[in-house]
Amino acid sequence: MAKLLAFIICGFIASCSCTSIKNVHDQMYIRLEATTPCVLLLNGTQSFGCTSSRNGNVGVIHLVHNSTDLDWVLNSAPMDSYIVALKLDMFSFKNLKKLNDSDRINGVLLMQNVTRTDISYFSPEDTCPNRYSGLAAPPKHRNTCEPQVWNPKTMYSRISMYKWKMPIFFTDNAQTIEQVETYFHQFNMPLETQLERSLCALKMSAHMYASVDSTTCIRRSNMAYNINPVRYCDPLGDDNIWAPVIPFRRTSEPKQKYIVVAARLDSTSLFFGLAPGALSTATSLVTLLSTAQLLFNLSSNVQKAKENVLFILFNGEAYDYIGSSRVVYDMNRGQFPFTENPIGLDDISLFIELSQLRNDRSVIYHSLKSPDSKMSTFLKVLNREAEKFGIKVSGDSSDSHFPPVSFQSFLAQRENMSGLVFTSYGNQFTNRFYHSLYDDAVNVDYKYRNGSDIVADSLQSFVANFSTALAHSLYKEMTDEEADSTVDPKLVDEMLHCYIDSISCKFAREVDYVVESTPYQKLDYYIGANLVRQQIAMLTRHAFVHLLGRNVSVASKDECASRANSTHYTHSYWSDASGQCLETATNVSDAVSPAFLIANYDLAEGLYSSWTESSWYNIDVQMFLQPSPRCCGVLLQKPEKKESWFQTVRNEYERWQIEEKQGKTWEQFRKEFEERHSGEKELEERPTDGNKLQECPTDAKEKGEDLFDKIRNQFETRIPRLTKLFFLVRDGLADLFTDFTDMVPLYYHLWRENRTIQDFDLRELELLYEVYLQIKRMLPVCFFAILPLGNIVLFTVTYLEINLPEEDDSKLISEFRDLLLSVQDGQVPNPIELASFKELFADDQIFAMENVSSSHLDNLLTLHSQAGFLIKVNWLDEWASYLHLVDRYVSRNGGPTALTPEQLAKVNK
Amino acid sequence: MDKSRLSNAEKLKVCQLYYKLGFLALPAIWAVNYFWFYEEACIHPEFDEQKEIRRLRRRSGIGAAIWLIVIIMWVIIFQTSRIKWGAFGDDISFIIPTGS
Repeated sequence: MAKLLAFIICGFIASCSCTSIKNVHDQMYIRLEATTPCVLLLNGTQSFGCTSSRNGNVGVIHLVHNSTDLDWVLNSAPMDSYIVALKLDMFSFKNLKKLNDSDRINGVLLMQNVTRTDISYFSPEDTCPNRYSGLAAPPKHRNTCEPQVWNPKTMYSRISMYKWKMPIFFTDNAQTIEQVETYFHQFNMPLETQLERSLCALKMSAHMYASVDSTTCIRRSNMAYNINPVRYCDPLGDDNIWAPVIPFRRTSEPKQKYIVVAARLDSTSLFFGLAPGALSTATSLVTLLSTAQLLFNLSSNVQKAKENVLFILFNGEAYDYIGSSRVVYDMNRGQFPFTENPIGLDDISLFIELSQLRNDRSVIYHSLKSPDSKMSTFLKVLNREAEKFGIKVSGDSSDSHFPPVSFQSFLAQRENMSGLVFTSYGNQFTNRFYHSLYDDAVNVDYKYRNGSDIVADSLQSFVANFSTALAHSLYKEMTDEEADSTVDPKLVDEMLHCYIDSISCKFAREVDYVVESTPYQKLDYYIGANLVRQQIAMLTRHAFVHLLGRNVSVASKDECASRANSTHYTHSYWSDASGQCLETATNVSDAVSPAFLIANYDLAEGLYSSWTESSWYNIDVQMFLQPSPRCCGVLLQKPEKKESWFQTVRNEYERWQIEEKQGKTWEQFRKEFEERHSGEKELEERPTDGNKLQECPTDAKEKGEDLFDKIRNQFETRIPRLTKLFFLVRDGLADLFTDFTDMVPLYYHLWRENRTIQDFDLRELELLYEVYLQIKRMLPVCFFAILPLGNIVLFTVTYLEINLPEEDDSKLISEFRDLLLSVQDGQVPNPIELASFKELFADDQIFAMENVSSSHLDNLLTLHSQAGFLIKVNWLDEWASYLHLVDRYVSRNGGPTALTPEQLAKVNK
Repeated sequence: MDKSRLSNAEKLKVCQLYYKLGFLALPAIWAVNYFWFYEEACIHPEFDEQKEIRRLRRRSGIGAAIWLIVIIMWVIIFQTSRIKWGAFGDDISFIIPTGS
């Protein structure tokens, strides 16, 4: 008895875990494609971004077009939980705050199509980026945000700088948007009667492991005695990339002065993986690259330079100047770039930074101190050179109002460092999409020319011209000589195409960079956790190597790799693209905040960036049909009905057993039986399910039906007497479809006596067979009908197998095998190994079928890849085969008519 | 153990044993004592050891109740202030739930 129960449960669990769950899940949920989450980031004192609950947030979809819709969902909506889908015009900080504060709202889906003519601004960034770092960091605490904020305040301001307790997703996928809108109108309208219907709902999963702040999550990640170690968060980090025009010497040399030319390498956005950063990063980055390339070419023959120029690209600048603060930290420690001949802060004679450059015919420079002689001389030359191209260089220097740029990290240490920041803005950003997903080609008005001539008034020619002017000025500063060669605008165009449009581009191939696939093939300038390499940084490193690499002739690739330079810090790199060996002084340094290096550093101190990114396990958005609460009331009544149904079957069955002994014929019994149940509803047709989300594949159905007929013919010729108890079964099935577990009691009832095959009552088989017939009839109700019986079948099989008499095993098995093969008749290919089959069930019952390469059982393994339908059909057929087998077995042993008195007694016990 | 087969003296012994075991910070044993000897203490006709059983049962009950109150209070305090306690809260947690 207990054994039987155990088997039933085991069989049941085995079947659920290995076969059905996935399919049911696929049937129930539609995964929304191309959705991008907002994730959780933390710093030393707070957390920012979004998170869902552990199992995802569920809510009925509500489309919000205007404030009326918003008020309705906030105040008068009938359901307990909603997920709001809205467009950018409703995505204001104020509205989000309202949604966030409401217990009823479980998530937000921002749906904005790619057409963006009506989007005039969107920057979820703080009004004063990096408000508490750089010059504002302790101990200086200089206020750089006043009198005017840098990033203009809009209704979107600071969305990135808030901890939302609900998940926020973004999609610009037309298909997804249409899907959501269609289902909303189909299921959730009209709003007044929402309680009475099943509603279309979303489940948003973006559970973030970290909480509170970086200090907490790092402490938790490092807890040694935790039995189940979890990484709660990871520090943001990547590489800074730097390249001196003249390689650093290995041997000690007289102290040299450096002009540092810097730009940033990263950007960010509210949504993970969608940070195009065209204006905030790409234009300045490309200007720096082309300047470096021209200056390198100019100075290749220079014997004696007054000064060296060091190009640096700082990473992680969006998060409290990670890269630049690290370089400053390393310089102070005497470890930049190497421990021998390090460059100190005082070795920097001039700091030039490029930030947010755009095609404005003018460049505005910022400096903290009023220009000294060095800066004035440089500006004079630059002005002269830029004017040749019609670019005006003008100043905007105000004492405290200094823009949020990497140079602040240096100024925080040496306030009187000579430095110029070249930008496109005066006292406020002109970038209306700063740190947002719309900071793209449209924002900088860039169109790829693909090799054709570059128009004069274009971003390409501006970048080419300004970098030419800059390179000339730098060259003059280095050598006191004039230069005349210029930057090729076509090269600039190729670079911009890479850095603004797509990373799978011609320039990337030319510099030998093999692009790894990204989910959306979109550019992402977000620095990310230090575990993951940023593609932009890798591409830029390749670009530097190729633009600033000296071609050295070597015999082979291996020789190139093993080259060593004893006098200078260089390394050699073999370029597959050009087939050359390039010697370059380009290198990288860690862009990881010193906060994570210094032992026992208090992350809340605010001296260094303390940003971390939360870990997560699963991020997705799924859509499904949620039953209404009133509907549940109806459902609740069903079990009662089912109970009584099982009771009736049981009673009728027992009655028939008694009455048969008393000499009553089946016809008589059936008549009475039908009278007794005359009022009960019969299920003539298969139930039509209005909420059916998916049709069965027709092909599979036909196949199944053919097979079924074959089995039935065989079966019916062998068992002439079919009981009519089945319509009870049939009625009951309609209820059963709602919950497959309810099928268990029936089987349990039938086999609770733990009988062996010999005394297995034929009528019980008949009953099962009828159940089978009915299921077959209802097959097209794919989802509900098939799944339950699929499971039941498994445990039926299991049960019958274990009770087969041992001495007959081998014979029976071979018969069984023949039978299976004859029934299947080449239905299903894909024979599998028995071993994997066994593993699938993880149960020794299956062992009884040794050497059976039954084709339809093989199908079990393909369950995962095939539609639920086919598989379930096969399950049913298999079951029928088993019944058939049992029938044969019983006939061979004398058949049902020859049951011994003891066996009968056992049956009727 | 089938209690009905024990003599009254043996019942008292069991009751005493459970009472003493409860002092090893095992309130559940006190709770068992309290409920298990309900019949002996409150329903059965009077017998010699009943008075003592009643006394021990009452004390066990009170002990178990105090334990229960203390545990409930601790759970409430712990759950509501774990995050506020910071490092200490993490240190005394066996499993730290993600996201909170």
